[in-house]
This record gives sequence, C-alpha cells and structure tokens, in this order.
Amino acid sequence: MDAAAPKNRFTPREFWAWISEVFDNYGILILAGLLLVYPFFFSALNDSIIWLEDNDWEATAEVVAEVRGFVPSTPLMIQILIYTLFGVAFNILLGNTGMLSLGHCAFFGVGGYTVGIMHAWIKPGTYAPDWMVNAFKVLPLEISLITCIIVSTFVAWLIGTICSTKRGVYFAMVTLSISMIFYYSAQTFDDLTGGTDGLGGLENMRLGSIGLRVGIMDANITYYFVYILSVVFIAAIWQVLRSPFGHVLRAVRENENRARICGYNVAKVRLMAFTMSGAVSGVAGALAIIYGETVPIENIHFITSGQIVIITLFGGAGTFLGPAVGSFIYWYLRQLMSVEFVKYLAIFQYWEAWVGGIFVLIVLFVPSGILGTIRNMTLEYREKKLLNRKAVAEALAKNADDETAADTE
Amino acid sequence: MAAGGVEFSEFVQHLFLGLVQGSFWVLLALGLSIIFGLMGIINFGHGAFYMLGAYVGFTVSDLIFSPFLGPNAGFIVALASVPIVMFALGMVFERYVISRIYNTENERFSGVLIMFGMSIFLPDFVRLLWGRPGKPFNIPPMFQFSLFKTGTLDITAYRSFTIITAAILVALLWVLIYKTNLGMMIRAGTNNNTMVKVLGINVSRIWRLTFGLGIALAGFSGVMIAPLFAVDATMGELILVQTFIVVVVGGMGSFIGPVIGGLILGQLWALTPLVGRTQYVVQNWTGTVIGPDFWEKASDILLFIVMAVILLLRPRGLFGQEGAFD
Amino acid sequence: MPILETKSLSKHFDALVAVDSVDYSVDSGELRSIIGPNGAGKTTFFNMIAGDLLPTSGQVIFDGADVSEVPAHERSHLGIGRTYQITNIFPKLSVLENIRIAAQSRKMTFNLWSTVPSHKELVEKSDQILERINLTEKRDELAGTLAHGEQRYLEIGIALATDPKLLLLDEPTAGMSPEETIQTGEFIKGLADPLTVVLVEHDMEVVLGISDKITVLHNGAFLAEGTVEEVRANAEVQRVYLRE
Repeated sequence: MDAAAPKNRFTPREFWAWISEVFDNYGILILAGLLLVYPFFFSALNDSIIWLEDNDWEATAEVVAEVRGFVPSTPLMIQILIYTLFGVAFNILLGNTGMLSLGHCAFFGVGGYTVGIMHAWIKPGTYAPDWMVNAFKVLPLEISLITCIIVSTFVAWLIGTICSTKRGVYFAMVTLSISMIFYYSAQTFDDLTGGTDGLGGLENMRLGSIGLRVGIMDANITYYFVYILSVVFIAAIWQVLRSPFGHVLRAVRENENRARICGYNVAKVRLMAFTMSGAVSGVAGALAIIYGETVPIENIHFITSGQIVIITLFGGAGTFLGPAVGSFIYWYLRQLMSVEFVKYLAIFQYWEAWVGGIFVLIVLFVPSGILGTIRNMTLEYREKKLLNRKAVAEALAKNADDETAADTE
Repeated sequence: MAAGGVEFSEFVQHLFLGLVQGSFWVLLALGLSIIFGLMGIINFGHGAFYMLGAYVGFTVSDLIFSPFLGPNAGFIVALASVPIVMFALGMVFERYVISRIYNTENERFSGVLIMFGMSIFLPDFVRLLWGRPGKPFNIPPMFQFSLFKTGTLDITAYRSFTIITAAILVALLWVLIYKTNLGMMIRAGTNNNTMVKVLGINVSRIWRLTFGLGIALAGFSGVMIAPLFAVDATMGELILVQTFIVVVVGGMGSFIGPVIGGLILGQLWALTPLVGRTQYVVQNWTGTVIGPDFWEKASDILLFIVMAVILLLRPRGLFGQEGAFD
Repeated sequence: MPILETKSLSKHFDALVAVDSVDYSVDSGELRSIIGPNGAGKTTFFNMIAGDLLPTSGQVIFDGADVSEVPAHERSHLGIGRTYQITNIFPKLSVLENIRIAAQSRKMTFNLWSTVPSHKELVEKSDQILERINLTEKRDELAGTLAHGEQRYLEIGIALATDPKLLLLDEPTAGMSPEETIQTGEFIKGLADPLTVVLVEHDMEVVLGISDKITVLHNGAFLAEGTVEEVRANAEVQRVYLRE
C-alpha cells in the first residue's frame, strides 16, 4: 500500500456519526429485519444447548446456558416490541408536538382492559347478549382489538378535550390526574376488572379468521402477531410524521404562537396528535396483555406513564427510533436486574427505585437521549464537513481566478 | 343532603371527617402552589416527600424518642423535627439536583420530570430502608380521648388537633405570603416569573428556601396524618393526585383557591358515602340498585369528575387568575 | 372601500387602558404607519387586529366583515398576516421549512398520507418568497442561526407566504443598522399595492419616506392622522414628541 495514500482515519466521533447516518437512513429496515429473525436466533440458542447436552458436551452446554441468561428471551422481546410501539406513539406528543403527557397509562390500561374484559366476560352466563357471545366465538381477537381501537380513540379524544385548555407543565399535571381516574375506577369496580389482583381468566385468545391461537401457549406465534401489528402501526406513525401534518406538529412544538398566526388551529392540531397518540397507545396496551393473558392493574398506574417517559427520553425524544433503543435498554436492564443481578445483591429487587433514580440522572445528564446525543454529533460532523468543503471550493475558485488573471496579463 | 336514612349526628360526623381530610389537602396544595408560583415547577414528588416525612417521623418517634421519653414526647419531637429535617433535605435537593437544570433548554419540563422521577424513586427507596410492609403509627396517648361523643358522632381529640394545627399553619402561610418580602417575591413570581429574575435579588437563595419550605410542609403533613392511617410507601400517591385536583379546582396562583378548593372537596369526599344511605334509590343500567358499598367507594372517583367538569367549564379554576396558567 | 376598519376599539388590562376607543380605517393598497411614543398602545392595537388579543370593547372590521371575536388562526385565513416586534420565527427549523410551513397552511393541515416534497407548488412558492427576501442561499440553514436582520426578513417572508391581503409589520426595522433600515424601507415600499401594509414604528424618521399616511397614537388614544407634512406640522404631535 502506498504510504502517502490517505488511510481510513475515523475518529470515534466520526465513527458514531457514520453509524448514526446509516441508522437515520436505514435504521427502521435494519431493526425490522433483525427483529423478524430474532425468535429463530433464540430458538437456535435453546436448541444448541439441548444438542450439546445430547452429545455429552455438558460443560459447554452449561457455559452456553449461562450466556443465555444474558440474552433477551423471546417473551422479553415481545415486551420490548410493545413498549417500542407505545414509545413511538408517545413520541408523537413529546418529541414532535412538544406536549408532555404523564397520563398515557390511561390509554395503555384502557386498551388492555377493553380487550381483557371482553375476553373475560363475553361468554354464556354473563350479562353479554347471545348474539355477542356467538359473534365473539367466531372472531374473538379481531372483535376485541377493533373495539379496543375505538374505545381508546374515544378515551383519548375525551381526555384531550378536557385537558386541551392547558399547556406545558400544567398539561402534564392535568393529564396525570385525569389518568388516575381510570386507576381508581379499576380498583373500585373490582367485580369487573379484578381490582388490585388484576384481571385473569381470559379466554379465546385466538384470531378466528385464520384460526391462530396466540397468547401464553406459544411465545413465537405471539411474537410474530405483536411484531406485525407493531410494524403496521409504527409505519403508519412514520408516515404521519413525514406528512404535511407532521410538519405542522413540529411547527407547533417550535413556536405555538407563530403556528397560530400562520393560520393553524393549534388547539385542534394538538387534540388530533393527542388522539392519535392515545389510540395507538391503547393498541400497545392491548398487545401487552395478550402474551400474559392477564391484565395487571399496574398497567394503568402512573408508573407506566413514567416508564414510557423514561424509555422515550433515554432513547432520544426528538428521534423516531429513540423509543426502540430506550425500550430495549430499559427492559433488558430491568430483566438483568431482577433475574441475574439480584442473585448477588438484594438491592436490585427494588427496581422502581432504580427506574426513578436513573430517570432523574437521564434528565440531568443526557437530556437529548442516546440517539439524540449521537444525532447532535452527526450534525456537528456534517457541519464541519460542509465547512471544509466550502473552504476547499473557495480556495479552488480563488486559484482559478488567479490563473485567469495571470492568463489575461 | 336529605337525611332520610341518615342520622343528623352521622351527617355531622362526616362533615367533621371531611374537614380533617380537607385540611390536609389545603396544606399540601399550598405547598405545591408556593413552589409552582416561584419556580414554575409542579412538584410531582410532593406526595413522595409527604410519605418520606411520615417515615422520618415514624423513626424519630418510635425508634429514638419513645423508648426513652414515652410516646407523647416521641410524637411531639417527631412533629417538631420532621419539618426541620425535610426543610434541610429540600434545600439540599434543590442545591444539588434541581439547580442543575436552571437556564437549560426546557427547564420546566426537566423540573417536572425530575420530580416525577422522585415520585417513582422514593416509595421504593423507602421500602429498601424501612422494609416492604407499612409501619403502624399510634395516636399518642395524650390525644386518645374524644372532645364530644354522642351516638355515631365522635369528635376525637387528635382529629381536632390536626384541624387546628392546619388552620394555624394556613394563617402563618398567609402572613408569610402577604406580609413578608419573601412572600412578595412569591406573589410576583406567580404573576410574572421573569420579573423576579429582573429584580436582581439573590434568586437562587430564595428559590432554595421556597423549595425547602414546600417540602417541609409536605413532610409535616405526612407526619401529622400518620397516626390516622398506617404509614405506607404508597400513601403519597392518592393524595398527590387529590392535591392536584384541589389545585385545579381551586385555581392556581391564588392563595384562597387551594384553601376553599380543599375544604369544598373535603366535604364532597366525606359526604358521598352517605348518599347510599338516603331514601333515594339509584339504579344502574341493568336495574340493579346501587348500594351503599358503591357510594363508599365512589368518593375518590367523584373528585375526578368534579375536576373534569371544572376543566371544561372554568379552566382557570374557581379562584384562579385568567390565562395565567394554561 | 376600506379593507380594515376599527370602531371605537378598546383594550383594558385591569385598570390600565392600553388602547382607548380608536377609530381607524385603511384603504386597500395603502401603505400606512402608526407611530407613537413608548406605551402608546401600538402593539396592543396590532394584537387586537391580528387576533392575539380580544378587544374589551369595539369592533374590528376586515374586508367588510366583523372579525372582533374571530380567533387568530382564522383571521390569518381571512388574509391578515403579521410580524412581531420581537422576532417570532421557528428557530430550530430550516429557513425553507419556515416559509414552507406558512405556505402549507393555505393548502392543508390534516393531510396525513402524502409527503411534503411531493407538493411541488409549495416548494415553488417557498422558493419564490425566498428569492424575494433574498435568502435563497441560506435556505437549508437553521433559522435561529441567521443574522438578526435576516431573521427580520424571514419573518416578513413567513407572513408573505400566507398570502395576506393585509400585512401588519410591528417595528420591522427594530435592531437594524441605519443602512439596513433604509434598505428595509425600500423593501416594504415594494410590498405595498396590491398588498395593504400597516407599519408600527417607534422611530418616526424610518417611515417618513415611504408611508402614504401616518397615524399617531398617544396613551392608547388617537392623536393625529395625515400625510407626513401634516403630521409634522401638527402641534399636538410636536408637543408629545418633544416631551419625550
């Protein structure tokens, strides 16, 4: 190799900038591809342990099994997918419209309870009329999911209307308060919702139209069910955010007053964003109860709102894929803490304390989140490259001028 | 309230209980208002600090003083020391955590998020230190008697004590806010946050004091309510939301708002269970009579409905300033 | 026919009377100025015309219709565009996006299924306006990084992109150097007719050369109106300005 040839001199910063550029452009596809094959990977890992044991490689099998403890399992990936969807929906507000809602647990919970209540109570011998029972027998999950979308859209619209007179931190306070009405209702009407024990005994978790049984029986099938729905809704949100409406959202975030004077009905835009965000959050909530086949009351508690804020902030509120990164790190860490770390230190069983503490640290020290920080680096890097290019171009132009000047003389 | 199946004494008893509950809401809502008024931060950790105050009070009284000086002295020392401890804690917290976000981008969101993080952190942290089960906290012997007792009416000494203490505190706060320089700045901040900055006063110290004061109020309320209920890590959750409701209904940015709002909502909350025992029969959509059980539990939900109605019909709250906090 | 009329328009903030019963009328295509000392109520008057504030009493009549109670965003659609005394742009969006978002408001708000670049007419219109305000070269830079004068121009561009019939400019030359001020004056003169332009200015000299008519407000109330010479000769006006 020629010594004078410029080597590939990537500083770490430039390396990250490059990664981020690739991620910006192809991140969604890369992520979707990786997630598509993930269950195969995890099954292969499981199978390899069995194969090693069968072939008397016990020591190796033990090592691999130990390693598997640090690899996210398929059920954990289901959780990560769901919270990615939830986070992307939440980010319509926080990252794009600049609204801080601390009441998203309401939609998450209402979505879950809608599906849960339908699967628990639509059966012979309850208040449900016969036609409903019969229809539900045929297409159970289809009906409950569509109902869930309708209900959560309505709830989001209703809460949005009530809170629409408020802005900024006051909006956060009002949404939190309003969301807790659902928590206390779930506690109060425990005949229907199972109260603090959560709602169990869900039946008929299957897609009648294609005869697919999802739920706790098969993590892989549930994974792909969740995967497809998440991808569809995330893609829809992606389109909305790049549409003219998405630009209006960012205009409202940047300068509400200017957006209004430009002729946008800001209140309506905010309500629309809130409703969309809430509706998709409801779907995420419905998906969240499908694998476990129970509705834990924690889903509707404001700690769930806290989780989604932390996931979005940690990943990067201003970025589209931030919630995916945040969701992965959050759930992976939480799993490690409560399963692996806790073996060595009892302190790790107090995960809420960890969540809260890390939350505060993130707000203080990485306010733009992981992807946000990387993106800022990229912008700096691009700026520098642009300036360099400009300088070179100017120098060349100057040279050319000089030469022509010399020629004419 | 038509007192069909309800005895008059029972009605008065509920009024009394409502007054007790309302007093606590007033105290917490005022603490919240003061911090918000000056710093523009809604303290989502208010309930958590209230809970922490109760635990600190428990430790001071049960582990330190009661064994040596008896339960009365233990309680009194707890009541006196918790505000001081919490005041110091609040100042330290403001100095080393909250002050970091001043003048950063989105400082208000950051402030809210930090306090929200604390409201998730503190309950579990308390479980870590004090264990998962709640702690019993007895009414000190000197308050274990009734001022007035007939039939179902029982005006207990301790509850009366909390009402009187709360009233004194509210009066002191009124003096602080309307008669002192600090209060002038809090009010100025309520009207116009930048104005206080422009005045060129040592703002950071004022903010630290104010934050400490709000936290001290929360902690004091916590230790005062402890003998009425057991001390528990989740005790701050419901009351935080209720405090928010009081502030929304009463109106932020006024002194009278949280006071009146707290008292009205306290009565509403206490009287709702009586509805189930009046002669009026309420049915649900399936025709089943909604019994007393339901009304016992409906109090909490009714508060939310009141808030929603207020937000829709009068967004600034009963006594709030127009347009100041939307 | 006047395009804008106010009838005894007043605004009170508690005890303070910011604008006191002002009757005002602008004909289509005129370039008008409102001047007055600090605190004369000029900005409040503008805010009521554009809809940022609702009047305490009185009427705003735009294009023959009473718009006193119409919200600000609808007035923008009726054809009132404005700029602010303190630059009011989208600082973290690019220059092009600033203009485009304003142009887009005429076409669509709740369009969820297309992409912005696919609307060619938006891009063309934005480019034209960028050309007009001389910022074509900086179209991809963040608006917040522009020089002060350029930001003032950008804000006028945003207002122009909403196709206003009436353009309200609140101290457009605030913070500009003397050369820039003269240049801006020329630029504004070029905007008038078919556009109707109303300027608020603190400094009388800026507007002398370009305005058809000048209105003087003092303490929220109407003081004088007329051509440059008439206003200059007005004894009341001289008294107010000399006392300043």
